[in-house]
Amino acid sequence: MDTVLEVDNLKTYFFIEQGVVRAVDGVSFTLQAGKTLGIVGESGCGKSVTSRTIMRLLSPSLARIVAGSIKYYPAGAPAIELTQVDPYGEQIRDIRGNEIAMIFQEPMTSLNPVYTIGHQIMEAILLHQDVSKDEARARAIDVLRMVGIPLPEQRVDQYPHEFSGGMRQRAMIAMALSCNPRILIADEPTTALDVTIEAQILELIQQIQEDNHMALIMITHDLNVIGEVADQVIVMYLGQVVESAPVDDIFDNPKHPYTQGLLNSLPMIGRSDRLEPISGSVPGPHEVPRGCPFAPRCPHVMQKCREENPPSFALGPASDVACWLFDEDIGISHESR
Amino acid sequence: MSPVRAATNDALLEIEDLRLHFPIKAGLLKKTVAHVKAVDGVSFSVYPGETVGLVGESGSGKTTIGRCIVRLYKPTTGSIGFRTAQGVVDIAQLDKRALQPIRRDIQMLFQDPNSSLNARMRVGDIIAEPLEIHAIGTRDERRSRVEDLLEQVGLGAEMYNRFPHQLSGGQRQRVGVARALSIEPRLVICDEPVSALDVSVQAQVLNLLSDLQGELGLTYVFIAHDLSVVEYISDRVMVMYLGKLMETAPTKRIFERPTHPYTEALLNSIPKRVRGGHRKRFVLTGDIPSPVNPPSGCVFHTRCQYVKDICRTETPALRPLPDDPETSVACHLAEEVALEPYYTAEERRDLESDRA
Amino acid sequence: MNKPGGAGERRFKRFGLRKKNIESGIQDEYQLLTVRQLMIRKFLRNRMALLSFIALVIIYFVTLFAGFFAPYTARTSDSKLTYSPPMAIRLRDPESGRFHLPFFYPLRGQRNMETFQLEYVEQLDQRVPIAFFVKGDPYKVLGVIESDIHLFGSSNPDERLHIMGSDVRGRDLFSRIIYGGQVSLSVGIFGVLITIAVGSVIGTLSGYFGGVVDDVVQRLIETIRSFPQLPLWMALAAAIPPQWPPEWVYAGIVIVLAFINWTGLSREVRGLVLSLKERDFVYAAEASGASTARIVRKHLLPNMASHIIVTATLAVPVTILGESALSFLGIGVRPPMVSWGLLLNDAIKIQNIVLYPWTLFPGIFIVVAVIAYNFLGDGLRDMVDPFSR
Repeated sequence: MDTVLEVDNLKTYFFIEQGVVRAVDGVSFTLQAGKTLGIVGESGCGKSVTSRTIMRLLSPSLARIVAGSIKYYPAGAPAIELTQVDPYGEQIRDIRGNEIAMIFQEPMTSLNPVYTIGHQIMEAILLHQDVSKDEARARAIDVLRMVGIPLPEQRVDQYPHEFSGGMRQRAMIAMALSCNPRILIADEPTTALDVTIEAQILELIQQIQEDNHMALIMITHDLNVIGEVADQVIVMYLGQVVESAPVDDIFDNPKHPYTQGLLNSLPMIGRSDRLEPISGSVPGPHEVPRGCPFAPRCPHVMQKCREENPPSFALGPASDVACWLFDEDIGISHESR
Repeated sequence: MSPVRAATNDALLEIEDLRLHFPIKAGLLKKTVAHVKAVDGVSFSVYPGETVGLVGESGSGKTTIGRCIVRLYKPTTGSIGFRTAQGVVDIAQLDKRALQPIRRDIQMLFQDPNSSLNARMRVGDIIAEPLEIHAIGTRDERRSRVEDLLEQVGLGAEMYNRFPHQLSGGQRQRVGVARALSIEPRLVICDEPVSALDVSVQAQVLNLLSDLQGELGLTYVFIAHDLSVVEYISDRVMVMYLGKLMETAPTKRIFERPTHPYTEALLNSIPKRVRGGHRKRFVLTGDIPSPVNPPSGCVFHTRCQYVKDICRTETPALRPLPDDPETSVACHLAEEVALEPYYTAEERRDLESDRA
Repeated sequence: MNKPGGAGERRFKRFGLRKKNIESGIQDEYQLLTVRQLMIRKFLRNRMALLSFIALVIIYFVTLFAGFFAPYTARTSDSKLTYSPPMAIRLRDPESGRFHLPFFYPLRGQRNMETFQLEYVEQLDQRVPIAFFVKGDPYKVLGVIESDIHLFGSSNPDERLHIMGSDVRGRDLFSRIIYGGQVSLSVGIFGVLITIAVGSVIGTLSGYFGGVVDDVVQRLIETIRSFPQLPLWMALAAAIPPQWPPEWVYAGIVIVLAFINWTGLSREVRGLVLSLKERDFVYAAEASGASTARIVRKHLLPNMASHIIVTATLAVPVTILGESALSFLGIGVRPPMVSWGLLLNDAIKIQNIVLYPWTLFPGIFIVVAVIAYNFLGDGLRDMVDPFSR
């Protein structure tokens, strides 16, 4: 299996007026070509900051990578340490859009309303690839067709406002795919869409992934979307990875109390029993508790949880959980419950 | 579960052929060039103590119906009969003054608590506002009522003097609930009340709403796009598409035996966990047509996989099914096509055995 | 856990945090700031705005107690010292070079027999000490309390002190600038008060009710704004009857200036109302049966107040400039009232500027006041949105 991206103990902090926000506080994962990593979490868990850190899209005056590494493995070239590249430099611009592409939640804010869709896709192609204008246009029409936009020859000359919400998201995807990226980061790509359109978009993304052997990072708060597309899942809470496991384990055998709580508070069709919500709410960025961040809301909280942040305990080749319940010294077997 | 009802005249709310067409104006003289048919001939009833889920995609008109019922919008035609102690009144026709007493009985819960709470007012004042408007009680009585409400929605009276920005999203929505309940309404229109909230908080608010319904005997019209939420909270579900009702049925029936092809498509677009993984979703092709120029005949015919000639020319009426009068459907082919339920019998059995 | 690298530590230092906090819970270090604290902090950080605010407070305080701060009244004339240049205040004994209590040399006019100009020569043999809290021209504090104490002045009533020179009738320019400030600066305030009142009422009605009301108001605003501003002011000011007493003329000028200004504010308020009335909290109030008056009072105005204040602050300098322009052209406030623009009218002829350049002093005050208001407005604008960077 060829690894394309390796993130190790990444920490991105924001330095703002009121103090320091530890938006991403120790995130690690590896991403393989052709596979999908799901990052799931509620608001303020740092999932979007993680993706923007990988793309180096955060303004250095505001957010800083305090620790950790992001290794990108280009095809047939030595690894690039993305934390070390200049966020405004040539190198990251060559990677961004060309090798690692990103699609965002709100397509309308990501598309420039004064240029045609075709112009914007062509711009991305011309920026990264040595092709003529006509070839770029032909490629733009190709990708529009690939994402299922009818009559791409005509649509290519239309403006974003002439597209419906689902079509705009398709155009965004077309733009992201125009240079055949090796990694696609999708940040809540379907949150603003209706479920019928969501189904269309997810199917499209998965199909393209399969065709191009592309690696995908799917960032979302929606467990259902994760369940559908992901191979490996990391669950984030307040900037930390609390659990990392293959997708079926996450759903069928969740380990971390937070993951369990999320699943129990999710209404699922055909399950008529009362929902068991997690008590309390996600603390604000300045109220992050000492010790385990989930301790104040955890039903299994112990004294140790309030004092010390648990390290990651490996439960299997691809399963890790950051919870004191899995510390052998403490000796409480979670399975016995 | 939905209360037994013998005759229709015990309905709390009875909507008859409701239409709301927003004019589109253009040009220097503001001439009306077309209409957005946001709600286009909708009839249904709501019975005391039940929760009716109103689902549909964006642009289906579900929010518009909610806003017509609380008379934020004045319907173009049609009637909204509301049962009061003095008999049934038609909300659609009342003027501002005549509406005032009705407003005590119908309240609305909004989607986004960031936008539905005035950032410049204190929590206590926000909740007390409906009481103040209707001049209920003295200042002290109102205060103690608000403190009781704060306890009732699980916030605690010490929140009285906070500002909304000092609360979390879930707490803000609880304030919204307390405000809606302050004047003891009988009917609450819940407009996507949990879709802006975090998953873990969503469940808290849903449970709060259903607990309060039990305690206070409330009736809910629950507007949502998320079918799993609707399934959790509703007794009956109404499915809307392009300003029209496609199907209304008891919740259980909708999920086990959808009757309208659109319901089937909507249901099966929801991701589903079955034994050993997630099932692939059904993908409904195309976009919702523009409500300015809805398709002729059945509005769903452009995306329907079972479409026949009759669907393109004749508009199907919403009619009760002969074998199940609690279920109504607007489809010419309701008796002809066999539709796929959300869970097959086998999947349902698996699900049940896995849970046990 | 990895310790952050050297670069990371430096970053922490920049934010004034000690290193030991890096791993141990930075969040303990600071308290959550309320919005008001954030706003004040934001304002204080804008040095120019703060400086401007202090400058304006001082200027307004001085003009409010003009009688005390000005050594003479605005009308005290002296035919012996017409167009006297600014007199230097001296603090040093010219012979010994040592410190001396403040004094000045009185001026005597001499006719230059070649140019026939009156030239002033310092009488170096006479030193007139400058006295503080000196008795002088009588005046009324805030128009009520009679007094004749001035902050400073010549100790010899026969030898006048003009620190900024005098005008054609020998009136002290510095005193006249202070009295003129009363008019110029209050025109700004009163003009803007009318602007706020008219602009927010019309803007709110126009935005909230829409329809025909809105159309009529918007067309009216467009019509008013399509005229060039200065000629329109001039035309309106010229319509003020010349026989009116000065106080009426003053009121007339205030109204003329507000006549154009309200349109800008009203548009801004209309835009705010249009966006606010679509917000759910307004819908919630409507659905509860709140009256229009209540919605405007409880929901719209509090949410617009900060924007209105900012816009109003930025409209003050426009009004001050307008008054100055009209008075400079002789169609603004009329003597015996004084205003900065009226004082500048002395500098309307080029030979006056060459011969008596100190007649431009009032212009400096106009510039300072206008710039200060603009900085203050900018600072307030930042403050209103405390979360922006």
